[in-house]
Amino acid sequence: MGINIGAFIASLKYMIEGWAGIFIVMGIIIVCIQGLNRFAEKLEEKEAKKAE
Amino acid sequence: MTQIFGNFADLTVQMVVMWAIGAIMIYLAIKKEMEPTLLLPMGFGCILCNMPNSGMVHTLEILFQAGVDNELFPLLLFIGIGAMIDFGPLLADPKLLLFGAAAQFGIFFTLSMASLLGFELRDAASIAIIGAADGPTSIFVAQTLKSNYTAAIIVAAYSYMALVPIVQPFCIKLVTTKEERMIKMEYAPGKIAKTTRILFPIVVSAIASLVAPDSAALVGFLMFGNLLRECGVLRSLSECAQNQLANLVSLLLGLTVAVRMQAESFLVPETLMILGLGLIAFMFDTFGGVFFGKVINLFSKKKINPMIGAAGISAFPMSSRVIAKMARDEDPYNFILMQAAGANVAGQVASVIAGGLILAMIGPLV
Repeated sequence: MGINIGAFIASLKYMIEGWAGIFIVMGIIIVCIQGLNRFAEKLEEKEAKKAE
Repeated sequence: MTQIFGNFADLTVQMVVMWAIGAIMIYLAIKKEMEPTLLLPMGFGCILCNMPNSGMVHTLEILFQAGVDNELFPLLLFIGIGAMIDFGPLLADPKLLLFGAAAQFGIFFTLSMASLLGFELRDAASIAIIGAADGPTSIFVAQTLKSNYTAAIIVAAYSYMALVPIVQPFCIKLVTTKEERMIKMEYAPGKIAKTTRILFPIVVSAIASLVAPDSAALVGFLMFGNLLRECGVLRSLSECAQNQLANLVSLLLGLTVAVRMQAESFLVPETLMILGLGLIAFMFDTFGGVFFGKVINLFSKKKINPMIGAAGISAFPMSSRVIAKMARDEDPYNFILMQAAGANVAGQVASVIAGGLILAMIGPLV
């Protein structure tokens, strides 16, 4: 085992793709959570109206 | 007499060194209360597995094949962890997920550093996942990629998780000013509907499984535990997951992993390199999270305390408490615990997703 510049350069692709990939997935989850919160609010409003 | 003392002839210096390492782990677990759930059984197992011709090795190997080699133990542990987590602060402010993402930078940076130092890709990726600051994820990824250094990786992961109160403050003070650490943040707790709490684990599991199918088990078991907690109709199962299941698996896991801490495979130069790379992973996780906070402040009118970026690692709840304490040390009226806790649970989700992405990218190549 020793310094391997070729492997380092090849790994940069995974570094960039991997870190960017997490941001993309987190972004999708954020949108879903905001959608869930709105859906839950509407559901609660409906149930409150029904109760009235 | 030969039968009684003959075994001493097989004792080596390396075995004695491993006894010392086991003793240090037990000391840290008991006296310093550093991750005792794992370090104590690992330390004890390490000592017994490094006795000449030890019968312990055969027994622990059975447990290893039953629960670690097939990644079962870490997945079962994740059910318990999921049942313990309250995602409320995250659901109230979902943008905190981005801090979770930012604080996984150390994983990918360490992947490159480990490759530079000559580790095979499977080992570089397994070493990098130490930066997930999550024991089960580290074990799962290392075992799935069939890394040659599972034991060293696990020891590093759990040791650095216990060292978060030392590593993170040092790193944060290196890259932030006092003024930045004193930034106050408002906290407006939103009420999270039960429907959201129930649907969140299902939605996250679905998304993670679609994006990175290899992470389906990791994310799925974590979110299943959370669903047990949030559904409200399975209190006994949730309590069992948080207590009996988590404790039982932790007990077996620590002892079992020690079978890979035998001197001939553990006392190699690569182990020291792995410990060094693990530290780099944690440090750059912290740097990544803090710098993300600083970048947000460049564009946002409402300033955020960049330290909460550092809470985006998965070491829950220790990291959020460390960050909150640092804020109060600078200003006794600066309370950022809830924001840090939100970033901390975001880190739990992000670290598992990171593990899945590592498996998706590297798995097919090894």
